[in-house]
Amino acid sequence: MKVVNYLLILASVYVLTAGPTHAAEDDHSDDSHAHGDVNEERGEHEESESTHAEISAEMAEQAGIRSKAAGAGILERTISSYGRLVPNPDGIALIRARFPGQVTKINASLGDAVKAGEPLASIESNDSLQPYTLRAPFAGTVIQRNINVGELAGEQALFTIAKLDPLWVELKIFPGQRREIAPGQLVRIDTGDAQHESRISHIVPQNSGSPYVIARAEIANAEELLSPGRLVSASIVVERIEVPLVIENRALQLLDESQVVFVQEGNSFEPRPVELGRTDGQFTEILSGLKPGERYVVENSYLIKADIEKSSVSDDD
Amino acid sequence: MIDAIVRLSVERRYLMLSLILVLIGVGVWSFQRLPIDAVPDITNVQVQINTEAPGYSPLETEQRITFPVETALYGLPSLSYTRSLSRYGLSQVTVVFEEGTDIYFARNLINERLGAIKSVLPPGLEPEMGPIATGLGEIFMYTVDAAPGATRENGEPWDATALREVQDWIIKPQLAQVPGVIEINSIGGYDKQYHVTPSPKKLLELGVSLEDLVAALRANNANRGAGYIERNGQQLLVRSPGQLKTIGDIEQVVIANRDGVPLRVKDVAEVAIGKELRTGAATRDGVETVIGTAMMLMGENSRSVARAVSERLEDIRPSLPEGIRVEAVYDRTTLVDKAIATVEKNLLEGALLVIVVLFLLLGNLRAALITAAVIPLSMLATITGMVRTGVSANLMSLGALDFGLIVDGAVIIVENCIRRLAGSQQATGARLPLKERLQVVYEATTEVIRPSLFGVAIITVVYIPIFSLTGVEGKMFHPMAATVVMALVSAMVFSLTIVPAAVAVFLTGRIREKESAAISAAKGIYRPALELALKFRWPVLGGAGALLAVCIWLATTLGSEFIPQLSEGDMTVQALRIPGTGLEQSIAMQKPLERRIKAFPEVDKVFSRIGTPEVATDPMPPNIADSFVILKPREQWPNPDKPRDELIAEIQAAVGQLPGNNYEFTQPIEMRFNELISGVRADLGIKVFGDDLDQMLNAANVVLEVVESVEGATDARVEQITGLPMLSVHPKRMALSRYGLTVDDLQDLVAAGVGGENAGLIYEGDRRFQLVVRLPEVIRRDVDSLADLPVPLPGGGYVPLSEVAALELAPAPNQISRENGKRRVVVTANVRDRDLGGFVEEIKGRVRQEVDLPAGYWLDYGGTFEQLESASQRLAIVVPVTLAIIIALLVMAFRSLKDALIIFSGVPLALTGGVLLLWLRDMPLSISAGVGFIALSGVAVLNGLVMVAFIRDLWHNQGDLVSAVVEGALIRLRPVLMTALVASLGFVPMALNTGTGAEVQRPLATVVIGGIISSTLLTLFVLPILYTLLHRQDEKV
Repeated sequence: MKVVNYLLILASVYVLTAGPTHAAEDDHSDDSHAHGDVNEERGEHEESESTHAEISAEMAEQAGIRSKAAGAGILERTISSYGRLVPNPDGIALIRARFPGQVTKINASLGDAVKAGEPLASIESNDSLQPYTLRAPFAGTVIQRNINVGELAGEQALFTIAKLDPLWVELKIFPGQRREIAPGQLVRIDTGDAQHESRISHIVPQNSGSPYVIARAEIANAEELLSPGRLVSASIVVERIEVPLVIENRALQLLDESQVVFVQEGNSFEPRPVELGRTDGQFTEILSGLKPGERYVVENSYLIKADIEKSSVSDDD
Repeated sequence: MIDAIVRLSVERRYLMLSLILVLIGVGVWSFQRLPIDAVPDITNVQVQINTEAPGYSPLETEQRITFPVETALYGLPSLSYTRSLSRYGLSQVTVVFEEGTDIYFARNLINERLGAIKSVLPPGLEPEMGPIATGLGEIFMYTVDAAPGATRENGEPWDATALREVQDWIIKPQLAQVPGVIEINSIGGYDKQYHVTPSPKKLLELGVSLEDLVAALRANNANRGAGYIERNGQQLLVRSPGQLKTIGDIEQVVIANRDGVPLRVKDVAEVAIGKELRTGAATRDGVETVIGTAMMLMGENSRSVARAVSERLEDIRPSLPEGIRVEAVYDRTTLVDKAIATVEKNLLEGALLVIVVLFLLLGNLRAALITAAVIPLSMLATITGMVRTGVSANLMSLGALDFGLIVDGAVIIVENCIRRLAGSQQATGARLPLKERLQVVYEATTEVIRPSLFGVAIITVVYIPIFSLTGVEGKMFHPMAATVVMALVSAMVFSLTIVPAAVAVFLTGRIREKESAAISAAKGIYRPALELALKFRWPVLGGAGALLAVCIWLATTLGSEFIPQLSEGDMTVQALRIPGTGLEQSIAMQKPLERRIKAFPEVDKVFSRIGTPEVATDPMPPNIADSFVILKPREQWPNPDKPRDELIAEIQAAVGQLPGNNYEFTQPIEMRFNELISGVRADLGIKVFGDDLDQMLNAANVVLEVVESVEGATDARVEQITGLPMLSVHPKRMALSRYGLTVDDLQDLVAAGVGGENAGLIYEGDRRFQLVVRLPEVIRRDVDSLADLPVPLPGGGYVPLSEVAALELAPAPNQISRENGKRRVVVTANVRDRDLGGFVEEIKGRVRQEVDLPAGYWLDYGGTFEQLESASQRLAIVVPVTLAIIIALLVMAFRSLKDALIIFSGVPLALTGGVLLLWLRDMPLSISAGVGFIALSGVAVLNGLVMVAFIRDLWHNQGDLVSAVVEGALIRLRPVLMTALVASLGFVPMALNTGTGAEVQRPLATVVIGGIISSTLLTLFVLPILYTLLHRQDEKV
């Protein structure tokens, strides 16, 4: 009897001590249940969980998920650069006296617009004592005047006449960009208050030891709002191609270390690894992985990535 | 000695009674100092060291901050372990000390060490210790928002920045002064900053660098004191104010002089109020808001502090700008009050039931009152003890108090006194003279004092195994055991002193032993039944044995849970998104989530904290949000009887449809405890320690393969450490040197341009705001155009960033975890359908054979299996030792092993009832229920003890075994029934209660009630049979 009693006691002790062990296991099964709950309809295995996302049309609408059909498009790759405005080399003239002599009359003062052939000054030659007239070689603006009546005109330039329309932009092209730049390319110039379009007319290497070359483009300045010396930013269109299949860049997401877009079929969103071609920062060419006409998610594509990967998330800290 | 005490008590009875007044005084005084909370505090002794490092990536944070801080802590006394995490802009080192370490001592040590490493840390970074608070610290939360249509003084609507300003500069300073509040933590909105955003083109055009701009702002923004001068005997103080005050002032700061023309900030940059790069945000009911959290100082009374904060918030209201609303959204007082109400109700109802039963069975009001008086007295004594030992009053610590159990000793004494007094009065036929009465009381008391003292001692002893629990279980159940033991010991002392004294003083009148009808009826049934049972003893014993066997089998089929979860009323929904999710994206995902939850008619309000608050008490990355769901009172629900689990399931289903979120449902306090204790929460955690993250990840993946191949492993996974996409700007050294630049120049530009550079402070009265220089948002946000960012050259001119640096977008560690000063990656797994110990052993063996780690890398095993292992090992020693002690006590009492074992037979029999009732009520086996079983063993022994003691005395006096057994059993029927009834009825309110916190107490009460019923029945029948069986031979001899 004693022995029986003892056994019974031990048994009950076992029940008491075994409590926690069972308990812990149970606890965890609850826990993992909570994790998996959301994905239940997607099956038990993690592999199948991560294949696609199922989002109802109404929910997608609320969440701001929008898709559009993939199709052909135009890629425009640009390179941006900064440069200063300079006068046209053809459009700047330093007017000197042909024969040294005394200036007898000045017709143009600083800032005057002059026409071609318009008299600028009259000079009496030292040698012949004959007066002759200095004329503007072309229409432009007097931007410098270094002479006054009664002074002797010698070797120095008396007037600088600049034709400010057109001006030129000298853009710095750094070695990394050089390969892409060629004369004839379209340049969009932002002067800060206006946009101008032009084309690169030529590329000039520097001989000052600087590593960059200068790409020059003409810029119209009919109203003469621009002035030489001004810094402008420019984007050079280095490539403009029609591509049979492009997508918007914001549709791209990184999933399992590969670039994917999400293809919508009804309520199902499937990640599609794609091979990317050229890009212009806004659109990207698709080489393979997506067919024209398939609807891919453009807006809020991150939500779909988040939905597909969410099962792996836990609060680990 | 006991006799001497009883004699003293009876003779100096008035002195004894006056001691009651002292006791009441001390008790009431203690009560006012008793910390009251809803649940016991299970936080370990820990100090968090947070270092904010704006702009630092996880790798830099670890290298520059976490490592030096950790190294400085080596060799701290009483240090248990350290763990750390390094995230974007934050290093958090958690230092855990051994239990019982004084927190202030620990903080002092850390402070000293931190002071020594100041010079090692990058300049400007300041490690700070987290608030002195525990998991129960977040006692009060409020939101700050604006009434619809309200505008600021300047006519603009209130935005998140302005709301945060109100919180930081009006509300917080006032609330922080409430006694008991250690910290007011803010999250949400933006810290107001003055932003100077230069256009790169203009900088280039005018030949000014970012550094020039910053330097100019720094050099033009200071007030200076210049001593004093005396003029005509009067002292004049001299100062030169030069601080910038307004946006206009900032715009006019001169950066440089170009051909005599001053170049002002305005010429190259825009100046405006901007948004900080925040790490956390807050939303409420689907709208962005600002949330303030009051943290309570460790050891304070959460109820009174929360109430004080709430009152102060009312005082603050008038000082708020018009249109600003501050609303308390979480107040711990509610929960504590509910929990206390539950405990109060249980204890009061229990006490009333006990008094009624005593009166009915004793048939003497005075006697009943004397016995019942032990209840409040021992309660007061217990409270005093709790205050002295630092145990707080909560659901757990007060959860196991059963007044029935407490008065057991007193019941036995009073019952015997009445019986003897009545007997003596009948014998003499008159009232007893004083001296004789005292003698009778003394004798009656000493007659039963020994068994009842032993009984109480045994009940106390059975609580010993609970004290051997460690960790979280220990913290949950130690207070419970401590309180019960204190209550029992004080009741025991009272039954030695005050009870006999009171009996001697008050039971002066005629005492008829009028057997109450219930007792007579019970005896009428009991005698024939007992005689019948003695006749058919084998079938009875067999039946009892069979019942026991069935119950053991039943016990194995019961479900089980570790610790019953206290329902806090409110819930939290942790929304988890993939790592790398930005804060704004997270907010955008949080808003519809909140609107969905708010749409439930049961929900009062929903508010969330996303990411890390100002003080990083909970350093969450921006992809995680803690949503608090505050429910309406049940009366306001469409269906007030809807079970909580059903509501949770409904909410879970509703939010499950939202794409991109994963959820964990918990409760506010529970969540906070999880955050603080953290560590590995799976059954098994294999930690890979080492240096190189890739190597460690490889090793972890190999370990994972091994674990997955072991039978019984589920949910095996490697901790996710990568996944944060990072844009790296790698300097090209050759190219840099070609342009005369250094790596530093480049990094400064990127850091200042993208992250922003602090250029001083702007003061508005007390308020101070940072002046930050950084690139305009349009440029900062466009990753593609970052490559074109012009880098100014020392000799003028520029070079595009892509020319001197390579930009690379690649996933990087989103967080680096370390433990005990070394990087670690954890592989976790749970076990199903297999015993944990064997599983762990097999994995250890397989890993040792199959996993080859490079030098400098090692493994460590942890997880819940450790606690289970150590708890099982400890209990395997402690439980048998306890049983041995009980038997030893019984043997001491009876000087007979045989009798001791007879009494002991009550224990398994008592357990049967507990198991049966659990099964009937469909409740799982839990530690709470386990504590019930432990209490039950004590009661069962007490029952048997009293019975056997009497039978033996009768047998010795009369000589006839069977009649002695029957007579003894009959005489003891009343006390046995009484102790059983009071003990079980005392628990009835607890077993039936459904209020807040009742789920913790219900299993315990259920077990005790069921067990006492079975043990009483079995004591009344099986014990006499066993006694006669075992002593038959003795009689013949």
